[in-house]
Amino acid sequence: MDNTIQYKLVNGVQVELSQNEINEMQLFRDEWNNGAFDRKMTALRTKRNNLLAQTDYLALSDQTMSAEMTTYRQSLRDITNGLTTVEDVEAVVFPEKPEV
Amino acid sequence: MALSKIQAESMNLADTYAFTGTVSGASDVALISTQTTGSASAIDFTGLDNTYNMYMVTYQDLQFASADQTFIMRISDDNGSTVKTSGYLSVTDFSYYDGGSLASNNNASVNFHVIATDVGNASDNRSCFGQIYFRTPATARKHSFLGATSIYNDNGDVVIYNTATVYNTNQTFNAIRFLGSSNFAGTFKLYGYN
Repeated sequence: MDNTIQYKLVNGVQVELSQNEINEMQLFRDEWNNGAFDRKMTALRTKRNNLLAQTDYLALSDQTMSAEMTTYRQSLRDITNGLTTVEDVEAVVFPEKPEV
Repeated sequence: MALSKIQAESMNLADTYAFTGTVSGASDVALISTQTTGSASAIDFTGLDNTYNMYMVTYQDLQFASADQTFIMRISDDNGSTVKTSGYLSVTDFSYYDGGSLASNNNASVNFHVIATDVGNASDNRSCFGQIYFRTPATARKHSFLGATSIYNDNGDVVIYNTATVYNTNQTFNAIRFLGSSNFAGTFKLYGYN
């Protein structure tokens, strides 16, 4: 699909965009694209935090956490370390949750 | 066709009928217009008025030119010549699930009504689908918009977006514009309700 900012559809009729409209849409696209890394990191942290929360109960004083579970949770905490690009974030593989 | 085809409690539709003229009283919902594009930077519905008490726009089969895109809506009071780029209070709750991990988040904007973020461009049904409601646009008020959208994103998550927006000035409008952070394809339908 062509991604040139050129046309809008108005009530079914293709209309060429004005220069002002093109500038406005380009600004919107630039702002979105510039925020890609932050969005990816936010999504990654949200997912990581959710996975951590699923095993939080194992840290209660009346529970015993296995070494595998301790390693798993630490891996989740460290999962954002060293990520500097969108590609880095997209390449992240979550660790496998050990049997409880 | 003989009137004997219309019976007391049923209608025999064994033949093919062409309905002409105006059907009234059949429904409170009217399809006003449909727009389909293979690639556009924006889609406008113009000429909105108070003919109906409530309007709904549905969008379906949306596909974007590239991955990880956002999709928004803005209003216009000059039939789309210009659109309002500020003055909104838009809040979105969204949850995503990949079969193993369920997560929720939210975002907000003062520059547009948020329809969805994280929209993909793959062709295998990873398109977004949803709807937006609003009331009598020709009445000056702080207009509200309510939207719901589902997508299947490029990360393999199913995502639900629920968005509420208020345009935070007493305002009329007569057009709405849908645009994305890339060009998009899809079908848009405008309905009126009484």
